[in-house]
Amino acid sequence: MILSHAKIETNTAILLVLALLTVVIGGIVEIVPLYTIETTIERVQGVRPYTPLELVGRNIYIREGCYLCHSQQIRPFRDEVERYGHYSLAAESMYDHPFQWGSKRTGPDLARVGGKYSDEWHAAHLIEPRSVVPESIMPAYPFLMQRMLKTDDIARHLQAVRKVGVPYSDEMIAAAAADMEAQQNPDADPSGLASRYAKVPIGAFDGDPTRITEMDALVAYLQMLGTLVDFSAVTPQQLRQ
Amino acid sequence: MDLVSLYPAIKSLWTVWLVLIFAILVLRALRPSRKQAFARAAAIPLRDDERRE
Amino acid sequence: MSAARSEAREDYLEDVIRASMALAMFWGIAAFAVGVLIAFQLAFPVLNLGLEWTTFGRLRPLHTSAAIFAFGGTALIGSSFHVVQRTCRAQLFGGEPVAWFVLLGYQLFIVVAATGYLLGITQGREYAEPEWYADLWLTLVWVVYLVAFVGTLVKREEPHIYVANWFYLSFIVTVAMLHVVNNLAMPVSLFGTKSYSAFAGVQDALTQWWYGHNAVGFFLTAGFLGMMYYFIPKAANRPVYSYRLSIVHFWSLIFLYIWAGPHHLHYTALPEWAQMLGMAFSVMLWMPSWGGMINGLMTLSGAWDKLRTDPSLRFSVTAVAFYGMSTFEGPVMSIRPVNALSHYTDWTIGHVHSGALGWVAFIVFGMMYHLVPVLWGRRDLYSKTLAEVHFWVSTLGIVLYITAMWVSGIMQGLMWRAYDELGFLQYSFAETVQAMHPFYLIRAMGGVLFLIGALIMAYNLWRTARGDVARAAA
Repeated sequence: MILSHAKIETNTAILLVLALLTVVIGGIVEIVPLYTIETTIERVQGVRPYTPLELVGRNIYIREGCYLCHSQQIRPFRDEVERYGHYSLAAESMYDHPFQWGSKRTGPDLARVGGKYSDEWHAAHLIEPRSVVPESIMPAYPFLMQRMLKTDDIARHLQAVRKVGVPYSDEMIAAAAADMEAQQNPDADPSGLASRYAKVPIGAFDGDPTRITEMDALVAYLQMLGTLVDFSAVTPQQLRQ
Repeated sequence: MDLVSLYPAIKSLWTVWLVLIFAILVLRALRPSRKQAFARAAAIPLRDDERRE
Repeated sequence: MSAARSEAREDYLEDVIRASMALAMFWGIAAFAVGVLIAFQLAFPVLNLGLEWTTFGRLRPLHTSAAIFAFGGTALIGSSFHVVQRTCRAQLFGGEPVAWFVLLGYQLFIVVAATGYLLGITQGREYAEPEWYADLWLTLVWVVYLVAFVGTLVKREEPHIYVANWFYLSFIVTVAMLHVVNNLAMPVSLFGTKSYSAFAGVQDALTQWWYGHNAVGFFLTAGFLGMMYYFIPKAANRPVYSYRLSIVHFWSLIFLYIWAGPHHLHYTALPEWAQMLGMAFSVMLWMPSWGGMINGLMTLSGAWDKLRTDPSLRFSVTAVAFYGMSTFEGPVMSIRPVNALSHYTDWTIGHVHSGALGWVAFIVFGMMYHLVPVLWGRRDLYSKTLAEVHFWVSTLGIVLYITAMWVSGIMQGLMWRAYDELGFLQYSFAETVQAMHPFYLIRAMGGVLFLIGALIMAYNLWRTARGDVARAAA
C-alpha cells in the first residue's frame, strides 16, 4: 500500500514507525560504538573481579543508596586529583554491574577511598558519622554491626555476575563461601584467597573475626576502592582511550 | 572489514539520513498548501464540547 | 453519522480518568511530603531516625519515583486517556477493562517498587531503581497502554491526529524502549529480588544516562507537552498559536533529545567524542524548546486577561515559562566548562526542581484545575481564591528552592576548587558541607510551601468534586 504525502500524518502506523525509527537510530549511534571500539577501556593492569565479601559489601552500598550522595568518579581537574587521587579510568569500573559513578557529591567522592582510613575508623564512622566527622550530615548505620551474613548463597551471586561477563573462574565460585569467611579473619590462612584475588585487603573489619557482619562486607568493599591499579607503573600510552 | 572500521562511514551515513528525514518532515510542515488542514486540526480540541449538562 | 458521533461521545470512559486524578493528587502530596522530609534530613541528620528504612539513601528513590513515576506518570496516563478520546472522538480502545488494567497495573508497579525501596531492594541506578520483577510487570502494563492508545488513534472518527497525541505517543513508545534496554539484568534467582545489570562500567553509565536523560526528554517533557498542547488551547478557548510550529517542535525535539544523554558524564571516563556529541546536541535542544514555549505562550495572545480569571491557565502558562527557563539552563549546564563547576553540586538539584516543580507539577496542576470540574460535571471550581493562594504559595516555594540551590551549588563548586595563597586546597570537604546548612534550610522551607499549596489544592478539588461552591467573599 502506497500512501500519498498528504496522508502521512493521518496514518497511525507510519507515525508510529517514524517516531520509533528516529529514537532507535539515535540510541544506536550513541551507544553501540562503546561496545565495539576496544579503545574505550584503557589497557592498564591490576583490575580484578570483586572478592565474594567485597561483592556483598558492594550490594550493601547499593542497597543503602550510597550512590545518591557519593560519586565514584574523579574528574581530571587539579583540585579533584589533589583531593581524591588519580582521575578515574574506565578500566577501573569494567566489572561494575551496575556502575556506581554517581551524580552528586553531598559527601566526598569515594573512587579511591580504599586504604585512606583504618578499618576501625570506617566502622566507627558508619555506626555514628558525627563521632569522627562532627560536620557530617550522613545517616548513621549502626544496624550493619548486628546483621549477620550467610555464606550459603554467595556462589549463586558469583554465577549470576559471571553470566553478565565478569571472569569468575570455576575455582573462584567453588571457593566463594570459604573466601568470604577468610577475608574478614586475619587468623585464617590467606594464601588461597590471595592467589585468586590480587591486592585483597584482609582484616577483622568490624573488629570481630568470629562472625561475618554486613559491616565486614561494606568496609572490605570501601577498603579496596581505587586500589587495584598501580599508577606508578602506568604509562601515558596505556591511558589512551 | 569489521564493524569498527565501518563505523565512521556508517555514522556519517546515518547523520545524512537523519538530516534528510528531518528536512523532509519540516518542509512538509511548512508547505503553504497544508494551511487549511492545519487549521482544521488545530480546532479539534475546541470542537469536542465537553460539558454534558 | 452525526447520531453515531454523539453516541460515541456518550461513551467516553471517564471513571478511570476521575480515579487517575485522585491518585495523581495523592501521589503528588506523598512525593512532596517525602521530599520535605529528606530535605530536612540534609539539614538535620538526626531525622534519619537511626532506622534502616528511613535513611536518606532509601527515601530519596522513594521521593524521585513518587514524583516522576507516581505523580507525573499517573497524571500522564489519565490525561492521555482523556485527550486521546476527545480528540479522536472515540472511546478508548479496549474499553473499561483495558483502561482499568493500565491504571491499576501501573499503581501496583508503583507500590511494589516503593515498598521495595524502603526494604533496600533497588538496582542502584538513578531513576531506574525498581528491580527486575517490577520492571517486567511494568513492561506488560506499558505494552497494554501502547495498544490502548494506538488502538484509539486507529479507530478515531476525526480525520486528523491532533498534535497532543503525537507527543503522548512518542512518550509511550520511547519510554517502552528506554525501560526495556536500560533494565536488562540477570536475576540471581527466580525467587529472589536481586539482579545484576547486563552492562558494566562505562557502557552501563552511558546506557543509564541515555535512559536517564531521555526519561527527562520523553517522560517529563514530551508527555507533558502533550498536556500543554491540549489543555492550554482548551482552557483559553482558542487554537494553538501555530500548529505548524508545533509539528516542527515535535520532530526537532525527538531528533535532538535522544543524543544529549552524555552531558551527564562530562569529564568522566566516557570517551571525549561521546561527551562532545552530547554537548552539541544539548545546546541545539535549546531552539525547539523555546519554539514550544513561544507556541504555548502565544496561544494566549489576545486573551491575556484570562490569566487573571482562570486558575488553570495561570498554572499552565507559568509552567510554560518555567519550561523555557529550565530548557535554557539545561543547555548552559551541558557546556563542559560550566558543567565542570555545576556537576556533583546542588545546582543540578535546583535545575531538576525548576523543571519538576515549575514545569511538570504546574502543568499538571493547570490540567487538573481544568479537568476536575469537567469530569465531575461542575460549572466551576469550588474556590478560585484558594486556587490563587495555591498559586502564590507554590510559586514562592519554587523560588526559594531554586535560588537556595543556585547559591549553594555554585558556592560549593567554588569552594571545592579554591586554593589558599600557599597553593593548598583551601577547604576540607567537611567545611563545604557545613557551609551548605543555611541553604538546605531555605530549600526545605520552599518544599514546605510547595506541599502546603498542594494540600490546599487537594481540598479545593475535593470540594469541587462534591459540587460545593464557596461564597465569593471567601
